Amino acid sequence: MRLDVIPQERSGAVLTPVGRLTLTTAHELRQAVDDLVGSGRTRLVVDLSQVELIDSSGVGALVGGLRSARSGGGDLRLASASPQVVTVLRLTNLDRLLRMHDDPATAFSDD
Amino acid sequence: MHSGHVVRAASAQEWFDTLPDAFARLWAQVPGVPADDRWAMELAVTEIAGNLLRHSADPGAVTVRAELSANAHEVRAVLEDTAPGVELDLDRPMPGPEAESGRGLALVRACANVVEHRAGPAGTRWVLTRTAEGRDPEG
Repeated sequence: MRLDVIPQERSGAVLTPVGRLTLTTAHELRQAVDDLVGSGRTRLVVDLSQVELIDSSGVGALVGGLRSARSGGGDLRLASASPQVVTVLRLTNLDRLLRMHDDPATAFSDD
Repeated sequence: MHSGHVVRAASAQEWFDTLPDAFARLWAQVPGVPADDRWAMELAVTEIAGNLLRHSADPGAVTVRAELSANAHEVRAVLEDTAPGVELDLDRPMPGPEAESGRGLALVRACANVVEHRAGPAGTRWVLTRTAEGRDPEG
């Protein structure tokens, strides 16, 4: 997996995992979220458009990342999930916890 | 009739890492499998391989033999490893949305409509089947 991180304005960032978000890679996403929150960037969007497969570890990393972002006073939102990713998020009830958006650019536009 | 292939791995890590190639090879052998069935079976096997990697006392000493096969209506995986087996509660429900772990087996159950698990002192055998007729409504 590759992870692209693009800072947005003063307090945000878009994280784009590319490839498989699974047991052996999920910790990279989790660590990147913690690093961003630690540096004051707490309004985070995870762009899931390039994720080929997400497993329970990937789901756990999203939950942990959400907790981290909220503890820093921000939020973590999901954007551009593929049908496979959306199905896994529904099966794991994550769609009740994390807001899904069509476009990373507008994930915080309703604030 | 199914087509497929056998994969052997010399450690739990090698088994986990070989999954993308092993499934790409299967889908090339059996081109008619619907996309939902492809990713669902790949996810179910990834969860089991992940459990083996995380929970084995000695992941480097575990060997795995897997038969992956499919036709247009069914995908099947027979997984055998040499890690001493443990009894699992396959009926454990999906944890709540705020849990950071514990979803693996529930996802296996959701993705494969027949799950057989046999654990013994010499190893564990899983048989996973996903059929077009038995698909989860979400999948």
